[in-house]
Amino acid sequence: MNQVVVLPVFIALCFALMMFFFKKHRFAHHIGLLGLGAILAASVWLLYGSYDEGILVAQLGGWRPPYGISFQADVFSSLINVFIAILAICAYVFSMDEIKSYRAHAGYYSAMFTLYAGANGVLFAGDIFNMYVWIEVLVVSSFLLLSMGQDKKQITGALPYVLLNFLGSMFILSTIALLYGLTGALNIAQISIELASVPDVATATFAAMFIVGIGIKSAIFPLFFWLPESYHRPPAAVSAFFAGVVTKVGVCALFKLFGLVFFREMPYFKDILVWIGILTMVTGVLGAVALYDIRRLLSYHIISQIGYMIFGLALFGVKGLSAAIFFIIHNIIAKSNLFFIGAELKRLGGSYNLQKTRALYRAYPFMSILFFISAYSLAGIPPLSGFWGKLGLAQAGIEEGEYFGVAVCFGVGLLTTYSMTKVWILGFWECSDKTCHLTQKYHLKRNVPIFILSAISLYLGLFPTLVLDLSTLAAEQLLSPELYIQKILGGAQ
Amino acid sequence: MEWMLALTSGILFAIGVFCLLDGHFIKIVFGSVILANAVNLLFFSVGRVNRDTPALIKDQALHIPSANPLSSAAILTSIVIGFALSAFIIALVFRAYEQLSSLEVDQVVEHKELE
Repeated sequence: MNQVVVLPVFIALCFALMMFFFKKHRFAHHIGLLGLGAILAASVWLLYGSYDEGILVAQLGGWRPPYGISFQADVFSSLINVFIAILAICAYVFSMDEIKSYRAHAGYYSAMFTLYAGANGVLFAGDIFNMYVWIEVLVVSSFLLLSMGQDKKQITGALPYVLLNFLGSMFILSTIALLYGLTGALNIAQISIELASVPDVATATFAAMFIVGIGIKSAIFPLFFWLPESYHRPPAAVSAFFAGVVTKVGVCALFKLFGLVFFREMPYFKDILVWIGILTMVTGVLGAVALYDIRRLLSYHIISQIGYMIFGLALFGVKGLSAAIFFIIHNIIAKSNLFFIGAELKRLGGSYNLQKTRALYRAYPFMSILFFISAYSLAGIPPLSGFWGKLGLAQAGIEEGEYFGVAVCFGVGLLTTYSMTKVWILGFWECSDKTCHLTQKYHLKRNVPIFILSAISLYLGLFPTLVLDLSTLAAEQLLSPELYIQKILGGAQ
Repeated sequence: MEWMLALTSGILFAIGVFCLLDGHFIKIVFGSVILANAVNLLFFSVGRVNRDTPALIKDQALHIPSANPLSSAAILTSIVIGFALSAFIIALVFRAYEQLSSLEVDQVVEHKELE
């Protein structure tokens, strides 16, 4: 059972290679879909396994921990991974229509697979250096996807993205080096044990360096400026996949490291993280309110939602963390779906710019309703999925006495509603002079992913119990590092 | 021995950051390469620098002060990654130069604002 932990990443890497060698074959990308199906099956199996048996640990190469590289799947990483796999399938199907052959010939589908493999590796790595390597796999694939193509704008958008991510990587790597020098371990569980005897000043420094390094990659408050410059430039399938995976995985790494390694430093960082969260929320949403290009507007919303997650991390209790985990899942689904729908708005309505596009509602009522579901679940209107995440965060915040943070959460929620209503009115609702006429048909490969993601979003909103229970379990596991240490090093001690 | 490496690494960090802050892409490329090497050197210096004993595990070898092989192994990986990143950055800067025929950061920013 335990070796299943490496299965998703293994399948993804195999298919990445295969797609690269057969990229010019006519049906190559159809076969890739098979691989993603296998990955999803393995991910669900892993989730069931980690729910059933607790944390699963695989030791690569047969080396005993803490010397060998270990892969471990807890409920947190398997849960996130399942939703990332679903999103990967949707983005893949969408790109089968959207991606032109020159991109496919440049290795587009391989890069999709390696991006997934990187995300999966970051979630499951039990060794901190290994985690860094997977972060690089993820980031380099995202560089590729971002800069692939002949578009001038893509290059100017990719430059700041690449340079800032490089800087973030260097921050993470030097932290790992210093941590290794101080504790003599790279295994996360072992580091967690050794840090107990290290002075707080040193540990707090490392935690701060990690926040900066991962913060650059996941676009938290003062470090997010690359995101709105770059996320709207590549094709919509890429933007959607990025929105759901790249930044979220950074946040997940932060959750894992704070839950398991730096939990002793949490009293120092609580206020800092609360403020980072609040400022990220506010600056993100203010950027979104001012814009009319739907892709840029959504990019700013990504930043604002990251703020909620950081706020949940700062509360650092089972309630806060589980709400944040639910929020991450909701976001992976709803935000990516909005990017897809944005692309449909361009195809059907004529423009990404809300002031120029024709309103879709009369000609495409079904698409408009799907937009409505995703947009208002992002805003957190009651029966939809965003509501449960925000409700949990607010409850946890009030329990912890962070009244100001909770008030900001609500304020930002209102502004999100405002901004989504703006999109709804200008892009979908009827205006007499710019109604869209039924010129283009619904398109299977483009609309099935949107439909699936909207259905999941609706499911998360109407029947949240299952995922809420799982995320509570995930949060409990994240907050009990002894369990990890026992599972990973249990055999060795 | 370690203090020399630490000092060198610190100086390299300073040079790297200084170059990254420059307004010319060639300098930024050099800065990023130097920064990557500074981090590698940092990793090297935390693994006990010691020139007499190879890190081979014999009986009771753990009691002899030897250099730590793991950090060297980790550096190999990070050198490769750093190299790949640098290559990518250089390629990207070259593409930007082809399209905008300029290597000034300000020009790229202006180009962005024109859109």
